[in-house]
Amino acid sequence: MFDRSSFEASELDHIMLFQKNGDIKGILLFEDDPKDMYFAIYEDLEDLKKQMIQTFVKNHPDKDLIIPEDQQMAEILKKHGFEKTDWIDPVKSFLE
Amino acid sequence: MDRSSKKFSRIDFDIPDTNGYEIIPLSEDYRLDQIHYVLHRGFNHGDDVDYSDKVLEERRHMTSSPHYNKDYTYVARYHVRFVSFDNLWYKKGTKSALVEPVATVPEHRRKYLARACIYKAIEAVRADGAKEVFVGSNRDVYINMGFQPFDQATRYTRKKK
Repeated sequence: MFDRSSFEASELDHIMLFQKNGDIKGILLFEDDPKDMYFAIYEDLEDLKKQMIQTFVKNHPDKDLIIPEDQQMAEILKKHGFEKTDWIDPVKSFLE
Repeated sequence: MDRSSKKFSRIDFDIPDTNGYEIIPLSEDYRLDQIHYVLHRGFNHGDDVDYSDKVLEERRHMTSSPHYNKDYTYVARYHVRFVSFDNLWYKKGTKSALVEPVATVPEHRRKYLARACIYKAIEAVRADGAKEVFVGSNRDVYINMGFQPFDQATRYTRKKK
């Protein structure tokens, strides 16, 4: 990403990495402001998803979360009291 | 151009004719005032452009990110002005690239400048190993360029009690 001059090094603590055997398997991160919504990026592992949502709810109980199309993750979020909004960001690809 | 190698596009990978405009990588002409001009006007922030040292330093800082590669940013240059700015994020050794940001100055839109810049940037990342390019957008312009629907991000919020 671009290096934004508004970014504060102290805000790095809000970015949460999920690792296994030294490899990053998932990440919860904000875009511009840690007080705003977060993104979840992860491998397709149910236990990992559960752990990520538990961690997110514990650390950011009042924040929104953005996820890719993933029914399993949607169900986990539902169990934690989340609901889907109308906010959708489509992704398009240009593939070899 | 060897079209048989153009598996990357499902539609057409020909660089459109941009008569009168030069399509060049930012590494060839790195000027902070022009980067600021095209991003400011291209993102509809108005016609008055502030070229103060503070603003230009912010643009220098923005483009100093370790993974930012000026060879993957293409600009459309009209005389000495940058009028379209189109960047791909890509790290050599990985397979995926991301289009972001794309901005064209209003009076230079609808001339296929962004398409030309993005195609050039795709060629650059392909040459360095990229196998796929993504863009977060629902605009038809990307469909017309050959992008296909892939996925969507959805926002979830806590239910109000």
